[in-house]
Amino acid sequence: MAEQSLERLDQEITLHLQQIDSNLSYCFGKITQDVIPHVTKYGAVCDKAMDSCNWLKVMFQHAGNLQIDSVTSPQQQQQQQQMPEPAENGSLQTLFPEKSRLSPASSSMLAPPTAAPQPRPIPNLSVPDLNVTTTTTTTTGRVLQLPDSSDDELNDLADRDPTDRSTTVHSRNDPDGSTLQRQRRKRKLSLQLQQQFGSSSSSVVPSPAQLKRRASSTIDSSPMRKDSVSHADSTKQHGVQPGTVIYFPTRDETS
Amino acid sequence: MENPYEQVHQNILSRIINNVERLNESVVTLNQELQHINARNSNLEIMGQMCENYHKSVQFNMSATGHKQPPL
Repeated sequence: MAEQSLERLDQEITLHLQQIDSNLSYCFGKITQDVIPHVTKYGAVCDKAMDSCNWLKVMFQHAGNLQIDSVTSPQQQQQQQQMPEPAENGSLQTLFPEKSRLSPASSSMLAPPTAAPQPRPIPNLSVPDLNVTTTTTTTTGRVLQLPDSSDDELNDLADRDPTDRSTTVHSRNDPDGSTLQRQRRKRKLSLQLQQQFGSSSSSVVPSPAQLKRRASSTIDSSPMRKDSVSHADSTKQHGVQPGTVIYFPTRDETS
Repeated sequence: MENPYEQVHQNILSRIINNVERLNESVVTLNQELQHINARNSNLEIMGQMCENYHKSVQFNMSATGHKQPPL
């Protein structure tokens, strides 16, 4: 009797496990085959719309002597999602929240979300584990490589001088960091030369990345890619303080 | 006595683990796409807010200066 019930329980467990397995695989197929292509298509459409409306942004920028930086990285975008709620409540809205502009805190947002991965020793199959979709560690504790963080890293590399880029490239190749120190010393020496004689061989010449970034900084620029120099230049040029908040009346006050 | 169902359960569990991993990766990909789209659409949203505020300020100024015309 006991053996029969035990066998029945085992069969039920097998059945339920198979159901769980089939449901999970169904979810996977649905997301990969149905959801993601449509979302990608929608993203392409949004890109098109954004490109079509770019003239409007340029027009407002030139009309208000401002820099509108709303295309941000996903890390900052999460921050930005919290912004519209207080802005919609008040009668006066700030169009340009402080957090979306260039701030020293934006550099701290550069840290990839995988900075402190917590390895999970045992693959936990409980339901709350499935809900954590934004985590970057898989069930085996393997850290997924998010391309946006590596993008930021690449952009950081592009912001520096070519010598500095070669520094980091070399430092990746050899782990002891001796070339890193050497390159750093060389860089410091060139900096001293520049301070002494007003010109240097390599460090004065702006890198092509910087030139390109400056040329396109008014069109489509994120605050992270903009260094403080260009930002200060733009504000100096237009005579607008960096912390300027422009208020527009959102209520018809005559009524 | 060895349970004959144990091997079956282990096989199904390993398959479930694999499925969860793949599902997690696909969801991460989906999240990245959505974040990108959100970053794009926030720009559009700011554009719309600016247009709306411009409209309101124009309305206010026209009515304040008395140049507001009724719609044609």
